[in-house]
Amino acid sequence: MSTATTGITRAPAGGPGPLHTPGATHLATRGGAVKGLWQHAKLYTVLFGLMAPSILTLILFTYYPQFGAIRYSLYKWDGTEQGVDWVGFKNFIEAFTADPLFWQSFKLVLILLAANIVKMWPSIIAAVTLHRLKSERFQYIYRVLFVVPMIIPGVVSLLIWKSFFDAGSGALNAFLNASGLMKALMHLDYSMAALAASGFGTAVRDGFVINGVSGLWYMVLLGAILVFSRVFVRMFGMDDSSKAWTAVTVTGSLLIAAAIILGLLTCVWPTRPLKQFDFGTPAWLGNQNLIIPSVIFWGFPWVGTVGVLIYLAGLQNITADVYEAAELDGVGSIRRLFAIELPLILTQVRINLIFLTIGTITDYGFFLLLLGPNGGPGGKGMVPGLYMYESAFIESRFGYACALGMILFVILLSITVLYQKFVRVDK
Amino acid sequence: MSEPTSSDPRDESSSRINGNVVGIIFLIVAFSVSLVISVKNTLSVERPTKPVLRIAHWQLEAGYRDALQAVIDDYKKLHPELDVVQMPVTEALYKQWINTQLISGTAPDICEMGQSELLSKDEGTVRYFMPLSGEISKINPYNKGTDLEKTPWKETLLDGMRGGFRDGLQDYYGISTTYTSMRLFYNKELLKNAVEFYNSTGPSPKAIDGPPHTFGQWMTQCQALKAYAAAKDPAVLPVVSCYGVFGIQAKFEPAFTAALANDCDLDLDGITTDLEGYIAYKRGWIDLQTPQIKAVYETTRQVGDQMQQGFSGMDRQTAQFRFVNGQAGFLWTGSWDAKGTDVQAKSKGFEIGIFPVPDPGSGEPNSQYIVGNAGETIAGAGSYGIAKSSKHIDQALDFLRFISSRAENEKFNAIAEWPPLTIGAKPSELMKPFTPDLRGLNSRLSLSFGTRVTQTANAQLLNYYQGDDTFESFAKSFRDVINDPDRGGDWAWWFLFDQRQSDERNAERILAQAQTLELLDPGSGDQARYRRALLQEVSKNNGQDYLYQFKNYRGFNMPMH
Amino acid sequence: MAKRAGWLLILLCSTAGLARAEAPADEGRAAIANLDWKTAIRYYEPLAANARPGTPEWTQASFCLAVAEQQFQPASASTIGTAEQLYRAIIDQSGDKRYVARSLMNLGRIAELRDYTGDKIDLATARKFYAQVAEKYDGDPVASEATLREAAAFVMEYDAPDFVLARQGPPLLEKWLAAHPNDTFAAPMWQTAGDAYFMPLEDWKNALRCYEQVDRIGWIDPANSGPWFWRCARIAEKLGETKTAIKYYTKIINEAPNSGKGYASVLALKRLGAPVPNNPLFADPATQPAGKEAGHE
Repeated sequence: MSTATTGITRAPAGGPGPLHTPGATHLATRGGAVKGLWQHAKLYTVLFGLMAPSILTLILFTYYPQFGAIRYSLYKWDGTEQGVDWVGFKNFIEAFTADPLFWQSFKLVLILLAANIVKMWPSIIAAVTLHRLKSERFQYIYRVLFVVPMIIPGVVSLLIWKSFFDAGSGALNAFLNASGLMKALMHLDYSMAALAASGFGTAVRDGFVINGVSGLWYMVLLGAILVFSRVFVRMFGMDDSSKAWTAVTVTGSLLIAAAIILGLLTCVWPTRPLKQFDFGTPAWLGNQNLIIPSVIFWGFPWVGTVGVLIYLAGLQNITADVYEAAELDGVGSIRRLFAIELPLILTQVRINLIFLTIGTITDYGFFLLLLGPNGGPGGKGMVPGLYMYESAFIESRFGYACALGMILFVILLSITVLYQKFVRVDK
Repeated sequence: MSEPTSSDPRDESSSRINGNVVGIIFLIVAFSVSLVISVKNTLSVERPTKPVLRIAHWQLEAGYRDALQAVIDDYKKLHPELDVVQMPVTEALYKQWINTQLISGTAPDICEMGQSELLSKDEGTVRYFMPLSGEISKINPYNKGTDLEKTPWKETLLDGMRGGFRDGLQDYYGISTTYTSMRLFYNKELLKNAVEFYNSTGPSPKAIDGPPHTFGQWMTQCQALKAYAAAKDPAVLPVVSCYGVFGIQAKFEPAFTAALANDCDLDLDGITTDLEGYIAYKRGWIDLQTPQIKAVYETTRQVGDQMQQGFSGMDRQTAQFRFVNGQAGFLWTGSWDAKGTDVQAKSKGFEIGIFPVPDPGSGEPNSQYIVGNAGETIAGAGSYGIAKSSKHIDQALDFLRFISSRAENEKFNAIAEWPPLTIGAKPSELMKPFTPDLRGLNSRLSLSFGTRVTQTANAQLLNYYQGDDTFESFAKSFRDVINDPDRGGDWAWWFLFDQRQSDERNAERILAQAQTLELLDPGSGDQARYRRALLQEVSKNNGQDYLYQFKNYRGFNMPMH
Repeated sequence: MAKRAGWLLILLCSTAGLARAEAPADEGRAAIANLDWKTAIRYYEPLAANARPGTPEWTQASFCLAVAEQQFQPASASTIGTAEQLYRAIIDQSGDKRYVARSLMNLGRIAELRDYTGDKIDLATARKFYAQVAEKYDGDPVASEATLREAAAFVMEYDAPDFVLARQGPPLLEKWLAAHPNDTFAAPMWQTAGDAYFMPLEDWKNALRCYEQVDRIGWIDPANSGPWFWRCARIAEKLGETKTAIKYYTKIINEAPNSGKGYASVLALKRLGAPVPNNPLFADPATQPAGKEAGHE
């Protein structure tokens, strides 16, 4: 097992830190203090001097354009130099009070976020598998194989997937037909439609409604309250280790799970079969009911190069003695994953979670290329990023699009803060 | 990365080539070669041996660059003191590239107009491009010896140079070299086989082999292709489209709705705008159930039935691929794709035919609502403008005269296989079917108003055209969208009014510029152009007519957002 | 010798000073030509500040500065206010009537236009300024322009249902044209009058009369005259003036065949029983389904 070679070398506890300048004495004598300060100053000057180009580049090419977006969100702007008109917060007021389409576009994003959190796991498992390979040669080979696809531009990969999804000549339909899975999907289509149309489905969907909102949402809400109540209790320093609290958490989780299952069984499928699978040529990107599953399925088997490499880097920080201790304790491979590897790479998981959330909420290029600017048939593929693109480049309302961007920024920042707070990294 | 171990390290270094060193050497060599080539190219541009006229465009379609090069070569023969080079840039990059070039003052002498805001919006055009109105009324000397030799340059083009005209600036900024139109391409061999097979089964009516004259005949041919596909080759589709189905819908609109459109044309300018259509809708004159309007949708739906299930997921490249590989009978695309499609079809062993979308004939479904054939207009495309920063403005102007002369325009478009724009220039055999037929009606009524409404309605309409939804369901969705107080037709009306006020304000800037320059340098301005621009501005009434019309037709003041 | 050297030095400095003074004005002019108002302000502000009020240099610099402030984007109450002040100063202090006239006009434009969100439109004030220019500078093209603007500012009131103010627009133009029949702005004036009669006044007879005047003088945008011919033809048909309708349908076929109404005009002429001009673009009219013709109510 390779030893850790990455990461900042931490100094032993109680000793001087890595920035301690050899030979500098800390305020031992007056002359010594001046000399020490001067040497500190020299060191920091060099350090900041070396960082300056990167910081300046970052400010100029990353932060400065963002301030442009903040500025233009307060204007009515048609994209030209002359077409600028100060409107104050009008764009924001319009977004919050008179643009329901923007908020509806978050529906798909929430679904994708949930799906993407599940889709993180194949990368983690791939990284763990790679990490546990005994042969260093094969580890190297597989690492290279993981990196090679990075040279393919994202757009090319998108277009390849688009051709996979083609109804007539796509590889996906060819595989489903050849493997017999198309027939299974056809049966699923008819069964799910029958279930949705049945008395039970109708009762859950239309009968279990409180104040115009489906009862399933109330189940989710109640479940979430129960689960998070334990978190709040912990935050206030109260004891949550009793069995009663465990029961509360389990009950809450079961409520959420039940709501999800009932929802999937009765609310997702239309009451009439799609009939897309009958002839073996479902239009994955051309049928409004198949767009969301297609978008979720995109990227299968969801083993992303960057994710795997990040997790691998984290796993390689785990020292050999930890594994030796686990082996001595008789810890099995599954338990090793959940008890050792996963907790120790939680920093990387959190980073990936943040990037994943940002990407999911802001992405629009993917939907634009696959579905077009109106989000495909029925507008089912409309996401906030695409809506922003439409506002800017189709309606020529660049100022309004900047305001939508600012709103997205605030939402993302809030989510990131939540992640930082609640996805704990126990060192 | 860990390396395999060995008992004697010396053996490793002598017997194995270090891959890292190979990589570094390769990198250095590649970088050096590209550096040398870049420097050489830069030097040749910056230190030319004679004046260089540069022409930038984004047309990478088959044949275009060869065509332009042929014209350039002819021009160089006449003007050996000048060098002319073309600079093709990928369409995806053209916008950013030309913006940078224009702003930095290093733009090529002649630039194809389009793609970027600097080229398409008035403020950018007036800042970076030369107005041409002073030149286009002169004779084009390169038409000498033809019947155009005494005709002003402007009148020598089929569109009267409208393709390069800017309404807001009331001036000409570009010279078009061609025009475009859309047609149906068909696979002659596949159609022949399908028709033979289908007719042998004894149907009625029989399918015809060749361009259909009516919509019904076309649909019968599609049935033939479906039958052929079911029996012989399941991969065959009757129709594929590079640009979806809305372009085909637009072809049906004049035929069915021209009379309705005239009735709804409130300002009697011959064009029924979306606003006029919305007013008619709100006054209850028309709705989606109006027979003529419904006929457009129903006819287009029939076309959708001939396309692949979920055809909205098929992009341009896939459609072309299916067609040139013999997997589709008909392809809907434009004249710019003709050459490429023809070449590829021939390489696969079949010939293509081209014809316009036919209207329903007498006795066919919905034919009772047909008021006339749909006509076409000629709109110039492929416009080139002269950058103000050019050091060779006279030469650039001369080149544009050259390329728009009858002989050269004909030659250019013959090689590129695009339709020629100069009067009297003969189109190639492949381009003849693209000649617009002006013998038809142009008024159309399209029941949609506002970008938001159109985008949302089209997303629902796709479901109907793909057979995933009924017309009634689409009609309900459409009504919900257009009646939405937040983003529906009334909001679009306000947006139009707001847009008009902004446009007027921008037009005012251009007028103010002209007035000021005239004061500073009396007699320097084009007064005729100034009066045209002034009238243009005055006639728009700062958008106040929109407020008045709203109150008049909706019965209440326009809600100010 | 020293004296000569001194004079030479003074001469050189003056020339250099002059050259320096000219350069910013040239730069400012170039900025205006490029619609670069920000740069124009930068050059003209010191020129206006340093010149003696009332002098030609001051007038020119102040006017250009005022225009740049007025047209600067994003506009605000502050920039428009600055422009107004400068225009008023020019009106009060400049002896150059061209600049004074244009300053009055621009004050009218400021009152008439919505320069920024929240700006109020004051058509009555705008008309006052235009009327001043029309009265004081009769004989100058700016007076014609002012009259046109004033009339348009009346029409823009759209004071339904009686249109008391809007109705004052066309007669104002007709009165001016009666006094100045060869005015260079005659065509746009007749056209504006015709437009006003057409909408909102719905006085089609007078609208056609005004358009006929434009046709007599010459359409201001001959390349785009198709829609106007069509409007004239349709109004004439509605009024029962068949001869006039035929005239304009024929004009479309002969002069604006590519306007999009060419073939519809062919059908209209056939419907009216008039001879159809021989235009090769419409040589073989396509067969029409029985009983249906476009353009017929």
